[in-house]
Amino acid sequence: MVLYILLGVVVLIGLYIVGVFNNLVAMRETVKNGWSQIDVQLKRRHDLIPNLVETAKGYMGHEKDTLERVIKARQQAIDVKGLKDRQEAENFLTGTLRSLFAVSENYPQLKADQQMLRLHEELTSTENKISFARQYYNDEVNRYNVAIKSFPDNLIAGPFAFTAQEFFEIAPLEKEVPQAKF
Amino acid sequence: MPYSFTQIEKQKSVSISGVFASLSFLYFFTIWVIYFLCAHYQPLYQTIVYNRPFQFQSFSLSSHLLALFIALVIAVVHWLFISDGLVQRTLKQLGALDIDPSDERQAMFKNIIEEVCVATGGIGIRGKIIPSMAVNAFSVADDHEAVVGLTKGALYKLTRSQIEAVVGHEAAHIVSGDSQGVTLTAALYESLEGILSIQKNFLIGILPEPDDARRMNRTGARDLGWEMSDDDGFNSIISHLTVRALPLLILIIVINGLLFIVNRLALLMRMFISREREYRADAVAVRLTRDPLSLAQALYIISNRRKTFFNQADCLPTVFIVNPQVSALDEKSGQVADSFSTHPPTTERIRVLLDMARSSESDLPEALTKSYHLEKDLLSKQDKPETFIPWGANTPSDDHAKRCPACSSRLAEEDYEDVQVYRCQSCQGILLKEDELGMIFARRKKTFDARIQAMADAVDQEGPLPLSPVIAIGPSARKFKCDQGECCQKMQLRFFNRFYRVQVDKCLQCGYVWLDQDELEVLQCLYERRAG
Repeated sequence: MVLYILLGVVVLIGLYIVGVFNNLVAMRETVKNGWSQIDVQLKRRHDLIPNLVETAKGYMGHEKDTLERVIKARQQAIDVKGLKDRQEAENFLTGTLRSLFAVSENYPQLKADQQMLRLHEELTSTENKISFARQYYNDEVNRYNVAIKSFPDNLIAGPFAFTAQEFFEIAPLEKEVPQAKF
Repeated sequence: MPYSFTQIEKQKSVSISGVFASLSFLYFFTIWVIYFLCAHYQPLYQTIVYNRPFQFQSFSLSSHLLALFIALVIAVVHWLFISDGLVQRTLKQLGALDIDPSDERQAMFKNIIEEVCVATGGIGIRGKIIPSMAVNAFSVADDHEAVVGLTKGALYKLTRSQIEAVVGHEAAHIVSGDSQGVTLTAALYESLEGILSIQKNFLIGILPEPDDARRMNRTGARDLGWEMSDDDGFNSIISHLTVRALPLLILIIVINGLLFIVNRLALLMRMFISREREYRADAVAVRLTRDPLSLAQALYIISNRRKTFFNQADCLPTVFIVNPQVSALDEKSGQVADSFSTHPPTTERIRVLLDMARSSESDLPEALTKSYHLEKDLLSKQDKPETFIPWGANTPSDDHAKRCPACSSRLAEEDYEDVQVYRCQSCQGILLKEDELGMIFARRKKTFDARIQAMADAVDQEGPLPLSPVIAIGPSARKFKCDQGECCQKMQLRFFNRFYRVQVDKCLQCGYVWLDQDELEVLQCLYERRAG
């Protein structure tokens, strides 16, 4: 009888461990998916920049420095490896874009250019997507990190090598950078 | 934790099974009534024709069970029928169009939808446009697809961040699953009404309407110098009919009973669709887009500008962000208002959002006085200047000039059928003294184009209001400062009269009436048609 009870308890514990494990796996996958969303949007921003610079060149020949800085920052952001470095590179790219748009205020013809307007809208949209993807990713990372650290899930997370994930931080000002004005 | 999907799934299935249960109950009731009438056909006939006492027959349990079984089968078939291609049919009903990416504004809307999808973690949402200058937004969803739509008015009058907030609100409805429930409920009600109206039309075609027959009989009798009481007339018709067509009479009773129930059912469904879900969606929208101020501003604009002809919205008020039909309960709270309205008071929603944004109502008008100017080239090809109403306008400040009650831009004097009226240069609404309307209706200089005719048809088809409700709808959002400067309080929103349900704003003190764009033309068209 006691044997049966013990067996039952062991089976129940086993089922519980399986449940927690599956739950943690699902959360880890959501985090990964969240990261790939950010990745897609960052790549999209990298793709838009050459067009932007090309269009701007026609109007602002005197601002070669600004344009070159943007190109360089983009190349850096593409080449860099590792989350922390990547964050820095992306933040730097955002900074250069900000100065590009600030300078472009002095060129009314550029601002009225159809191609430029379209690019501006695309870039605004991409910036928003990056920040939303980051928001989603960070929310999910937070949920996952809390789960693997809280008792009793941490007893299972430890042995099965569920490690805490890093947040993706971008300068908070970023969202306001290339806001389209209508 | 963003959203617990299992919790949402559970909630969704509970609300959907509630709808299914009420549908089954409706069919059960119908079958039972038909069954009852068939079984009592003989006694009923005897009672009516020979005045014998009526004998009631009770039913066995097995017949109840049989009725329940048949009801369930019919309900399942009906259910499958309405849930197939649900979104497509609803969109057709709303007259929604695909996004035209060549139009900059619409391309922007598409981008915004993609952004919000990213914020939700990648659910798929499509965008649609309703070609109406009313300002509103909606969402519909079924198992296969989810759609968020904006009216053209909203697309042009809201700023980018406001549209983002509104789309966030609609996406919240979709994520939480109540969009699906609401779409299904609306379609269900619609399909029942449709079936019944076909039957009713068929019956009206073959039978004289009892009311008409009654009237005919009475006037005929009066012509002959007889005085007939109502009861005599009615009884004679009944006995007339019963001799020839008792089954038809029964059919009429059943169908009228069903119509009554379906009408009540609409009220019941409104009780199901609680006001709470709008608050919840506002909250989730803020979590998605982190911009409560923009959502508050958007709600403010939408609730101020919804009073435009918007026939497509009539059947589906529940899918919209702000109720497109103005109702006296809209801004009220309490048990009754909570149960019978689909949307919570907009003022309350705005207050909650402003609290989240840590700003107060005084921020609102200021944020909104920014003029929403649009460049000509932002307009798509279908938009003509007369269908386009810019919000606010850059007018020179002039304290003595009359100001538009709707958008506060300057009103210009204008001759309309030899009557002096004031037209808003921005939103094309018209302000005039109420007693001068008669003069306008009497004169015939103006002709009306197909668009006005179509709108007049729509108003005409709505038919008169029932006698009981009052014409007044409630205080309107419009303010008008008249010449004396005495009556600067809010105008009153009311139907033009019982027969023409055009909503107009009226100042009760100085007698000025404010008619939105096209409303004067439509009323004039209706009056001139009636006068022949």
